[in-house]
Amino acid sequence: MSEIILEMKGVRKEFPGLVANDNVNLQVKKGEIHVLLGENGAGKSTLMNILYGLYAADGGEVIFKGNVIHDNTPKKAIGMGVGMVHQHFMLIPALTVVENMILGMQEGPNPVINKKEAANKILELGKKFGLKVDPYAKVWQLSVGEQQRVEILKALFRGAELLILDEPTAVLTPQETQELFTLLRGLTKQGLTIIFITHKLNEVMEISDRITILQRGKVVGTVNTKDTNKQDLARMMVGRDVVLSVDKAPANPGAKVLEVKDLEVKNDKNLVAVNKLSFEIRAGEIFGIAGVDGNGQSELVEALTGLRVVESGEVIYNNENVTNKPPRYLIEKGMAHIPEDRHLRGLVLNMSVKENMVLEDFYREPFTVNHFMKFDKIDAYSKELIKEYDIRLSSDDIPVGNLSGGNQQKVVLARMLQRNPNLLIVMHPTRGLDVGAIEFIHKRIIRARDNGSAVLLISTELEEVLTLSDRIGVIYEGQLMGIVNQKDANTNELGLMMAGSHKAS
Amino acid sequence: MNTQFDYKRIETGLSYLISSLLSIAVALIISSFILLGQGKDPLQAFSLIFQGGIGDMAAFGASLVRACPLMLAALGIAFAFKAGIYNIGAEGQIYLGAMFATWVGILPLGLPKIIHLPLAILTGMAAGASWAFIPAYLKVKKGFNEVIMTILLNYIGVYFVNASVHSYLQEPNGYYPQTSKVLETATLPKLMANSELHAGILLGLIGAVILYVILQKTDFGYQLRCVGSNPEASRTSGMNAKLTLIAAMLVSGAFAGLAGASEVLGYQHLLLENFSPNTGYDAISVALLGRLNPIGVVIAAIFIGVLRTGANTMQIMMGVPVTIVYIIQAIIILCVLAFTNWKLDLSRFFERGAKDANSKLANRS
Ligand SMILES: Nc1ncnc2c1ncn2[C@@H]1O[C@H](COP(=O)(O)OP(=O)(O)OP(=O)(O)O)[C@@H](O)[C@H]1O
Ligand SMILES: [Mg+2]
Repeated sequence: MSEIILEMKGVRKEFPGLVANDNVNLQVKKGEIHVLLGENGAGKSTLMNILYGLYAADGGEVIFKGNVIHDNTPKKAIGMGVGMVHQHFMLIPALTVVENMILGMQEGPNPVINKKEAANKILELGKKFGLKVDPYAKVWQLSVGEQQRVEILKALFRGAELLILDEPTAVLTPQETQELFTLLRGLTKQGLTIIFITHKLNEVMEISDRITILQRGKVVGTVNTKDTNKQDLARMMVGRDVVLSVDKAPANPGAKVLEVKDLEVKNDKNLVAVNKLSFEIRAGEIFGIAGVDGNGQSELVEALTGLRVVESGEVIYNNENVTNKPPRYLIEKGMAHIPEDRHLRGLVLNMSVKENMVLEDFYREPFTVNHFMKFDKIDAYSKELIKEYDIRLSSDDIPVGNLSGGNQQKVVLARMLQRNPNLLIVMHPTRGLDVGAIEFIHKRIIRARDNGSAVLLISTELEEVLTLSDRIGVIYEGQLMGIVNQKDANTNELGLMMAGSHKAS
Repeated sequence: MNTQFDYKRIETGLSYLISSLLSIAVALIISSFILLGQGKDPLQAFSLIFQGGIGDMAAFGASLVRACPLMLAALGIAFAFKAGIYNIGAEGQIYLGAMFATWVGILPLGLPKIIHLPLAILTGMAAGASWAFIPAYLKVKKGFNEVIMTILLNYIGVYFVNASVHSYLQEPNGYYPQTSKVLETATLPKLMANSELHAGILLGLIGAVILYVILQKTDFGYQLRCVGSNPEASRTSGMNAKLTLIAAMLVSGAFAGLAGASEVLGYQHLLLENFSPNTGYDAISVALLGRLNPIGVVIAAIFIGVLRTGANTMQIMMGVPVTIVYIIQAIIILCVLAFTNWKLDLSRFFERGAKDANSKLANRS
């Protein structure tokens, strides 16, 4: 057996009213890919933040390369060879790659200020690890996948021997994920060790050597990947059997709820993003739109929800032309929207969980009477949603930004589903959720459909679109390549359509 | 749950208090060196500031008179900042508020006080609000930067008002660039004998309570806080972010206008050229010092009022140059602002090691 590079012993971390890590023991071997698995709020990010020196532990020991670490700080951690890539990247968009790399490295014993030198080192490292990056590209011009590569390169540049990746694949396309995996395998061949957090069991089985499972702050166990399977893993993390497939009755479509006719929408660069797009959705059906990210999905949703100007074409909602109506108008008609980016559009991060539960309905009774907010009513409502949607937190008075990533997503979902919308527009609804929560949310979306909602589901996860939708459209460069029924759908044909070929009729 | 909430409130209150006291202590130490460099005794200087600012009722009354326009303008500024719009234009709004209030105040309308006074005050508020509306509208409709707009409008506003006392508002047959006196029916009542203290300070206190209630208890205040923190999420959930910004700016301008009105109707009783220089800018530091919280602003304004009045006494008694006084004031304000951030680390004592500042960074997944 190879040597142990990292050992965390009896680590404890409390937040007011909650134990996020309780006597956690973790052993990571040099050169392995070690997955941390656990429900939303199980304490994975917290544990890694302790390792990286962002949080101070309340108890326990961290032993890295045989040395016990005291008073850890990110600077110390980096100095010892720990690198971390957070899910939301910490790059400065207006600067070039090389400028981002040397940021914060101008001090210390070996200051790096020479851009040229740094750029050469980046190219050299890139060659060594098979990471192609243009050092002089501006970060904002890079795709998400490329930005992630820059983050990884940044960690390597600083001499990381242990690389922590917190949900790196949540925002990647399947192809980018494969590229990342190839890269990670290459890195371990060079002797690097990787700790990887993900909720996607397929990925766990594919990439990891060993898995440590956390449940409510405690370690359930560590297993070898080759000795386990997806069902077992799901059971270990959730504590019960999880149905990994979706169970739904055939749709029973009713009246037309949404009709989109020849819709044309421009993006921020003033280029056509949605190009003469037409489709309709009926009550009681789920219409899924699959496609590679960046083919006009965001602009389409923003146009439908009143957030972006429609250039031409029509949006008919419940027999009314609502083209270019403002969001409030549509929300009051019964539309609910689960936005793509929860931090940008879904939550007010520095306000309390409670206050975030009524972002749409705060001005109505019972939450407001004669312009005065009824905080007891809001409190009760928030408690109800927290219970029903199993949102894990210590108190709903804390800022919603302090919740774990998955629990933040649940706040958005709870708020929207609870409104019993007649039209539900959801984008990447399960991004960052654990398998148990995904199962639950899928059930709730299907229940909304069965109760007569029309559902528009947009996701880059083909599997999610395939299993949930009754009809599936494929979007490519702002146009629908075709629409197929779920029962006739096959991955091959959809894949071709996603690459831009029209549906063979 | 409830007990925990209380514990949190006590904790934040306590850490504010400790950080404020510490910042003042640090500021006093730094200022001591400056005074020593001037060859003055710092202890004597500080005790003079204290005596002159808060030593007896008359001194305190004078301090409150100073605090009054700062308080009113800062309340408005804080309100706009909460909504995420940076109103640097209180200066111009104060001048316009003062001019219009004076104009109504000197009109021989023959009205009783109960009508004339509120009319003058409301006209001043409306003038401030209108002046604030211009940058708000241009920001919302045309995307202009409100900071630059409000600063430019300050110049226009101040010069416009200064010009008025040379021309159409100048006292009849007067030699001086000033208006005639505001009629008795339009003056704010005095609160204390042997003091200039007037009812403007009550307007400030009532205003603070009203703004606090609006922000924390009403749907409009909730919307305003949402828009100020995350305009995109607010828009997505159906709020009208643009209208909220305009409304916040109108309130903000009205309070600045009220500051100008109360300064004339309560204290100066006629409009002079440069009648209250830099109040609008000083009020920005008061707003920040009060951490944008209405109650905090009241305390901060009184604090600065005491400091200013006391510093005057010190200047007269010790012959310390006035610039040194301003430097000391600036140091105190800077220290308080600097320690606002430091408060976050202080919470480690309470939260058993939780690094609040970092947790924001860390929990993005
Ligand atoms: N700064 C904080 N203040 C209060 N509670 C916190 C804070 N940070 C995390 N928590 C809580 O600690 C628990 C563990 O959070 P953590 O982010 O480690 O979960 P996670 O396993 O990464 O979950 P996810 O898969 O959803 O990202 C959660 O219940 C969370 O609400
Ligand atoms: Mg996490």
